[in-house]
Amino acid sequence: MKPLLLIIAYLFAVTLPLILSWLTGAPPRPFHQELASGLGILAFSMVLMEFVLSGRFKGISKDVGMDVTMRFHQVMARTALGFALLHPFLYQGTPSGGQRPWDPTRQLTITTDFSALSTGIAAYLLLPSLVLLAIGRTQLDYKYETWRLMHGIGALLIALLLLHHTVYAGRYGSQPVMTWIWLTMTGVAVGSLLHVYLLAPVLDKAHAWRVTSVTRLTPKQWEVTVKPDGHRGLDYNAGQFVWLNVGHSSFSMKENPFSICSAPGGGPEISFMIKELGDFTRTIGQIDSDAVAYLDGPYGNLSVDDRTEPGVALIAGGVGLAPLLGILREMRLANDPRKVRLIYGNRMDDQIAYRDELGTQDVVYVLSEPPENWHGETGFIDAALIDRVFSPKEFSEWVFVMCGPAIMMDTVENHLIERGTPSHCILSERFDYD
Amino acid sequence: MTNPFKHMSLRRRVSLTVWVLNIILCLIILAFALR
Repeated sequence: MKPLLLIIAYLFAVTLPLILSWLTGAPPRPFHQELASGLGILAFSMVLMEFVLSGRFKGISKDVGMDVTMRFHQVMARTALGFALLHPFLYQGTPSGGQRPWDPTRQLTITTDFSALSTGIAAYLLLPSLVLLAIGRTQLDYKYETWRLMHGIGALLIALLLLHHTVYAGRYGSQPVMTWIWLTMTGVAVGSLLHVYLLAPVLDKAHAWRVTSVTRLTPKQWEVTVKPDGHRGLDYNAGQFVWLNVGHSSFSMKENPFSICSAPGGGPEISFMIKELGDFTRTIGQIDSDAVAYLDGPYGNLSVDDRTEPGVALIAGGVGLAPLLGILREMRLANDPRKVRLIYGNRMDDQIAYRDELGTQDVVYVLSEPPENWHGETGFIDAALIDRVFSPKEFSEWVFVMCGPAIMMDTVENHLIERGTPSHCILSERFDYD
Repeated sequence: MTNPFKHMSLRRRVSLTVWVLNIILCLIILAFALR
């Protein structure tokens, strides 16, 4: 979905319950009480929208990129949390404690019914925990799969608690039309979760893959190759990534996103360049040949297939080479007439992967800790290096594709913009946005 | 007129979009409460 369309669709979806509540024509209450209701309504619809912004829906992330979708998911969760935390405090002074004879439909009093309030209180406590655990995920010492499971179950629980609270305690939510709206929206949100964790794995079962080789590329980098097991394979573009599950059931949470480093034109086999970084990647070397694998994807918008620029600049830091290698391989296989130049940065000489295949023509190797006999570039991929490698004409005419550490991406992107490269000619994808 | 978004980093574009979106949401809530 195009970025502007995505924003308009998001605004429409999150404000729909608020606008419909407005149209119900309930008698007016003081400003702060209406503000409290408005914050609660908007917080709930934003929480529900978080489910479809989980990054697993290609229609949403196809044009804006997975990293931007995830960043949006993260930031809007914080806004929803802020709205939700303010919500109960603004009901100060509202008549409560039971039904008044002059207010039979309870439009001007707030409920003190424990069951209706308890679900709201439970969600009120769970929501900050869910957001804070997600923000501090990398600092906390538990496995990524455990966090994903907790995050999914927590989000599901919060959605159901909020649905109950909104329908049974809400002034607007208790009206029939709003009850149906909330039921539908919660159904879509929960359905999206079930799609990712139940339906997609069922469909994946018919599209299993087999590991054909696990090769050590450098002391801490591996190449894993899989082939389709009785099906046609994957329709993808060079530069995209998939969620890879190796050696587990298709329902397992043990899947991680990896860029495809093979070229679509190279056949149905798919290769991944994987660096030992976390729980799963440290066990790559122990994967059995012929192990079953499941791929969910492809995702990502790091593709130059439909670009019309006369040249393609690939800028990779470390294992960030993976998607760019896929692009380079595809361009070489297809005898692509566009010019191509790769900058490939590493810390040390023995971290350079695919050196023989990459060659030296149109490839600039950069090492920050070079050996004594090193003839390539030294230091980091920074503004000075970029200026040495590309001409002013190339800055304004080429498309620049980069993948690597966040600091490298920020430095290069800022410098390219300074040199006049239009932002639509800078493609990047990062898995860790913060 | 040049589009300033065309010469802005992705991080800044996302940040700006989110800020504008949050302000719009706050204004909508205020409009709801003041109706």
